[in-house]
Amino acid sequence: MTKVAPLPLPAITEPVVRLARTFSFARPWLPLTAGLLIVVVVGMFTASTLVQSQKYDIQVRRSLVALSSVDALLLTVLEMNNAQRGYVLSGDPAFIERYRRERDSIEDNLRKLSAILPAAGASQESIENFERSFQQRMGAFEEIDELINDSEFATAGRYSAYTRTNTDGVRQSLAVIKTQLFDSLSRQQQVSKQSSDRALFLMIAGLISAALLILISIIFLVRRSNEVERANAEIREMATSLERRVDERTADLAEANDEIQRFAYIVSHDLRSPLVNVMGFTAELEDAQQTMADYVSAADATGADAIPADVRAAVMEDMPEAMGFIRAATGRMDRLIKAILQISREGRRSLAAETVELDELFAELQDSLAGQLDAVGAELEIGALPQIHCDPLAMEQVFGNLLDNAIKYLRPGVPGRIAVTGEARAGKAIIRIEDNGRGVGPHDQRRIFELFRRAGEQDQTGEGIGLAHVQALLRRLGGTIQLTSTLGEGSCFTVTLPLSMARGGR
Amino acid sequence: MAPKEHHQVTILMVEDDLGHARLIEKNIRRAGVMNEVIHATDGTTALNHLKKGLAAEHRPFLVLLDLNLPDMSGTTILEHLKSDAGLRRFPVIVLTTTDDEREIQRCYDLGANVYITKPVDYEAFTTAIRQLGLFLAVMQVPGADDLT
Repeated sequence: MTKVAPLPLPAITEPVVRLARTFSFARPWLPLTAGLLIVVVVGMFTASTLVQSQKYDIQVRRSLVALSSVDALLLTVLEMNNAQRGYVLSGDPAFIERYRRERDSIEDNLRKLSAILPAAGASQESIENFERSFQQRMGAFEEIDELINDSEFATAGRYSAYTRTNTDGVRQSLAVIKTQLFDSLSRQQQVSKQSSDRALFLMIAGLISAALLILISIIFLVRRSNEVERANAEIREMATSLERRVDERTADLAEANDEIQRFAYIVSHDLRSPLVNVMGFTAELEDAQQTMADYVSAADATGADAIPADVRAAVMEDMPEAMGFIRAATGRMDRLIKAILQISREGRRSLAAETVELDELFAELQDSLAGQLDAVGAELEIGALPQIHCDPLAMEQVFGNLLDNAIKYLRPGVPGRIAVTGEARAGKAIIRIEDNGRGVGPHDQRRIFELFRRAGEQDQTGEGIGLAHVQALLRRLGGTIQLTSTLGEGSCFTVTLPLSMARGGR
Repeated sequence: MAPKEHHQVTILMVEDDLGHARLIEKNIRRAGVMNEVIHATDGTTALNHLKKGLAAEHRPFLVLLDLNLPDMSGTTILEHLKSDAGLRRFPVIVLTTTDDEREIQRCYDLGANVYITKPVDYEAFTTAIRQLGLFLAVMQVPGADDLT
């Protein structure tokens, strides 16, 4: 069975989604940029249109100049013709003067016209046509001039009349050129008008679309800023509600903690009350037993009434044994209750931070532990320790407990060595208490921090409270305690504390 | 003359635990205090004794008061005693298991004359009660005739 390829739906929808996202409120700069682009294009186009229309203006002017030059040339030819004919008919030398003046200027006019005509839109053919007829007419003028010089006025008059056709040729050829010039002019005007119309249209369209795009981006911007405003308000609201929740939780926790403290306190008191009875009446029983024991001893001494063996055993052995066990059990229970009470009291004690020189604190502890150290033959070495800002009593309890433990749990037969080292690093004080004592097995390394739990051989006095107390205290101070230990080699307790205790502790 | 007067002072022991009551009585007797001891096991009975019995009969008395009672707190009785013009002169000795600082302060604030914690250890307990007994033997209690 072949697998059917799934429809490439994401491939289709993705660009659509991307496009939609592109024009979303998240990108108000897009229409703005498009608007700017359009304005730039319109500006460039307008500038090019302006340049173009200047070019058209030059052409129009050139056409107009060409037209007037054509007229001027024709007029000169006609003037020459009239002046020559006038002279032939009247012999007035003023006519010949005029003719010569005109003839001198015509060369100049012709040069100008020839220069301007091709560019002004006259065709090469019509120009050649005009030049040919013009040369013919000028040739005719020359011939008549020669006839006048030879004083053959009659022939000149006839020839002059005949050359009228030559004049018409010039006139016609110039008329053709004029028509062409007019056509060119109107064409240019049309093109110029079209181009300026187009420019106007494009400018208006461009400006309208640019204005629209800018308007759209303004709308986008306004909406976006509203959105941002809303989001900010939401975030503020969330922050306050979060704060409120934290406060509530903190209050709940504090309440729960208080309740636990009260509970521990009440329990320890209500447990004490029956214990007073058990211990009290055990003591009373002991007194009674003593009385009986005295009687039995006295009876034995006098040898009077023989006491039955089972009565003697009950009074002299069973009862003391039973009461011994009761005493031991109640004694232990009393110590446990005291410990619970002490811990609950410590939990309620408010901590006050002050500057504590750990060097001095450890020196004092060393002094007070000197007797114990001597008794077990252990050495205590204290290295350089940092200064911290903490509750001094709590510090004394924490480190006193740890040193006490280190002294208590040395290895028999091995000279005890306890080393205290410390350092300040990254706002924390780290204090290590290392010993070469009996160590703690891996299973017990967590357990020994629990209340009433002790590790290893139970050959030392204690209720299993010290480390639990130390840990609880450190937690309140914002610190931690860690144990690394190898059974039968030694232990290292690492205490980490903030260099400066948070205000009021926890 | 003095012992005769002391015999007349009645001790009202307010104690819900019968065992404690017995141990206390045993030990004050051993200390040589032979005054009459009236035992109330709850607050209501204690108040009845005070209002109808002792005060009405114009007998001088002192109160040994436990704080943990089944029906009310010992401090309520203390408050009642010390706010009553006719009863407030009579000494009240608070004898309880609680050794909480605040509780002790509260009792003295309310007008308790002595506050003693019952030690759990029996030797300490007997010592404390016997010393109390010795104290009771030399203590002056206002006469009933002073009452109005």
